[in-house]
Amino acid sequence: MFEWWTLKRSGSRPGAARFGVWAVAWASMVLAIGACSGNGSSSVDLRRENVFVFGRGQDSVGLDPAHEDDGESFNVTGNIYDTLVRFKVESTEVEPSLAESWEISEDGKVYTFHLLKGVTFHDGTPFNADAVLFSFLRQHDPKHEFADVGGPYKYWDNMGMSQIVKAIEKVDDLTVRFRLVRSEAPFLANLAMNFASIVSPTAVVKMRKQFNFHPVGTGPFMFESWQRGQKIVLRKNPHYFGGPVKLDKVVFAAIPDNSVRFQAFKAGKLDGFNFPNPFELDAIRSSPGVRFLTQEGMNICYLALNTQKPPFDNVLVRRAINYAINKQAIIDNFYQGLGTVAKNPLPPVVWGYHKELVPYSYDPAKARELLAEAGFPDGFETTLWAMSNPRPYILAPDKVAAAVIADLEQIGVRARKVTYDWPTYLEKTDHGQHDMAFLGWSGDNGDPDNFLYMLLSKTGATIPATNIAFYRSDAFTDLLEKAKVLTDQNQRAALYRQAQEIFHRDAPWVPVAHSVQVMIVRDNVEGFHLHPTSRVDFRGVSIRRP
Amino acid sequence: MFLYFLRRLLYVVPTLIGVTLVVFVTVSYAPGDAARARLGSRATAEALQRERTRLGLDHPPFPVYLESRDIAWETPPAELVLGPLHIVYGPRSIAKTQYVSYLLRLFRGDLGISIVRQRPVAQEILERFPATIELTVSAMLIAMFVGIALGILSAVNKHSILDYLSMTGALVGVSMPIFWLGLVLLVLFSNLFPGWPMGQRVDYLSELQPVTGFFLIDSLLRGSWSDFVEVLRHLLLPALALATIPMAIIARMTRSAMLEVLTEDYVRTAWAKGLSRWAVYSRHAFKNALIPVITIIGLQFGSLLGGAIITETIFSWPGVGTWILDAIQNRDIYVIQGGVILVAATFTTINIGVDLLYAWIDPRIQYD
Repeated sequence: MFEWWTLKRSGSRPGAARFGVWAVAWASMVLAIGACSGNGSSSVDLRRENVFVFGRGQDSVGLDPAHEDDGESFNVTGNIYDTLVRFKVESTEVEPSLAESWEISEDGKVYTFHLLKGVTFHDGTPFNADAVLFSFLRQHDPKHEFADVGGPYKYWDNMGMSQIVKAIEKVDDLTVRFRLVRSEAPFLANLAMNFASIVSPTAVVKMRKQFNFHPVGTGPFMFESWQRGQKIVLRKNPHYFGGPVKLDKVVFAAIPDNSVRFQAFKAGKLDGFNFPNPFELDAIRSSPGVRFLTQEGMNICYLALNTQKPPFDNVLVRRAINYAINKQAIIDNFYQGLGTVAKNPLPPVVWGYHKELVPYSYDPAKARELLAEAGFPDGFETTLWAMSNPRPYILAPDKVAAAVIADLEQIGVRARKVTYDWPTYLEKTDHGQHDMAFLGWSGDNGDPDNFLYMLLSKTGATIPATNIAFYRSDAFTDLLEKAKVLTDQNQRAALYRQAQEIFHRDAPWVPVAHSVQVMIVRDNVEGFHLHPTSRVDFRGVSIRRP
Repeated sequence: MFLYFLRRLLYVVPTLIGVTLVVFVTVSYAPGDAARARLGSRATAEALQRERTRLGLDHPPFPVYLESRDIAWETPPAELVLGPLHIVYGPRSIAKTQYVSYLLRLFRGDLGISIVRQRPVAQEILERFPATIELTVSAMLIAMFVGIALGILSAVNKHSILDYLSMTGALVGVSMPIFWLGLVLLVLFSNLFPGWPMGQRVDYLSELQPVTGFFLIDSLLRGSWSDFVEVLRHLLLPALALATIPMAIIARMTRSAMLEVLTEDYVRTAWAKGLSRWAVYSRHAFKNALIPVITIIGLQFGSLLGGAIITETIFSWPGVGTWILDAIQNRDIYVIQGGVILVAATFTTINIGVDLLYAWIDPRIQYD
């Protein structure tokens, strides 16, 4: 039996000193490992030629975009796959991608796409009409062989595509036709979203469920490896149809702690990262060699007033709440300059935004007046719901809620804060259990319909509701339905402006803020653009190395 | 001894089943549901219902269950209703209840699949657990060696400056928030040694691929000494951060156990026999002080193996702690179940190991 403590039982030196030696040995080992660092780092830098290391807060869930709905999955898949049409750089206007052109029938019900010739998937199989059909029919047709493989097709359902699309047909090898149930203006923009990515049928058939972890597309980068919870590595697709790709590799490194991401960037380990700590923004801005990119986000944070519950069924009360809240103070204090005050349910980056509309000012006296007129001279008691976790459109929900509660107290409204974890919060608010509740939305396709119809139409007000103000205005919903079937953007924009006026009058929400998205990259990074949909696109990115 | 060991192993089975029951009750009756967590905020009612059916969540959770205001379960074909209490009977109906069907699958060795990622839970454990073991074992090695050494030094030199220093150090160690210590270590090392790794198990650009999942072993299997050093460098800071608390606890426990033993008659006898200091401290005192120290080490080891959520987050370490935490936030039931079973099994195994160690260290302790 080996007993380490009896090894030197009759040693001449005192025992205590021997233990001390161990401590010294440990410390020196630490230093020895530390000393190895010099060689290690220089070889790492050599290898970094043309590799972009991107630091982000979370790993992806899966890499088949039809199955996923989280931004960190889409950030990777957007670089692996292409869609028939895609959003232009820095805008949500649509341009050709895998489809070089398309025609829309007079009645807006038939879309015919002409596909690019000679494009191949990363596995060498050809891209053609069959691949397009496969990619969409597995999501659309419940009898398709892959309808039930790999989990639910989330976005297809969420965007209501099953109700929009009647049939998808192959005309010839390079022509595909979509027949719609009704004219649906946002349809084309939907096809630019990640869930509409074209996948390699051969690879899906071969990998089945595993395809989600071994993606094959036509995009600028090919999947190389994935170490769960650590990193995803993509390498350049030498045959990319959109021209030469400048980066050799992209590494998506998962670094959950916001401060550590910044430290890793400072130490030269990363070429870019997102979601910095708000309190570190000044330090980041003043670091050398940093490019600080911002873009007005395509999102809205709002306080929904449950119009089915008294006293919020009274429009005077709802307007009073709108006058009572000091939004500018919220932006200044809890968005760290990375937000703008909202007045409409649409963010300014979306076309159809009502610029001229005069917002409710911060005016507690006016609010008290309105409350008195509504029959509540002494205010009332109510609840204010806030989620427990930060969301892209609200970084500090607990603090914003506290500020709003304090504002409401000024006009005699005594609100108690209610909070739940995220899935529970969604469940309870979409069942209408709240009086007032914070929620928000990030746009998917840049279409006003994606905000207004989802969040404020009568259709959205059925349980489980996406319209958690349970706002049921016929006039408002009629305008949206009219706008949905028109194809002329100017006509549609006019209708959406009218709708925003009705929204303003009825005040089912307090629109609070639009948050600004932030990305930090090194100043030797070229061709990096932020997109309103928050997707990270490495197509045109290059790194200038001295 | 062998029989004792066997009996202890047998007790593990009901313990683990009990654990699954507790987790299932908690998850079933907690608000929020897995279909919602899976489909997100934009899901339609029909899609949610379809997903519930697919996940088997439309069946009652237990053969005996209470009606719930929030959750609608499909009524099983064979059921007895007594007020709010429902009792399912008939083997088919019982087998379909969520808990029983989970247990039936568990007995076949199937831990289920992750609802969020649609991957087998067992596979995810195989990916995650080695990372945790590698980190925990390293941290415990540091904690044991340094902690025991400090404890003995303090006890032997009671009320000396060394004693005060190391016990103050231990107090600071126990109270130090790891998220702060971890960050300080990172910043410190990246300034002292430019290029020092900022978390993760290997460099972002390393080509090292997991084989066993233990990167120290994998790098050696690959025959690359530089990879091995690289992995060691990545391991050092998280292990140090994770080691501080157990190290401090072990040091304090060793000191007090030693002090107690040093006043015993047999130690006085040993001195009287004229033995050397080393022989007295190591053979007579320390060996007898070891029992409580081993107990503490076992407990600390067990809880660290359950995942060190904060250390894992700071150092981007893909261990079981953050895995289970994510699962709880996403209502990923089978991952929660698998994770808790894993933690419970580890804990009980270590406990058995500690009990066996007692007998090995102290021949007076006998099991039969």
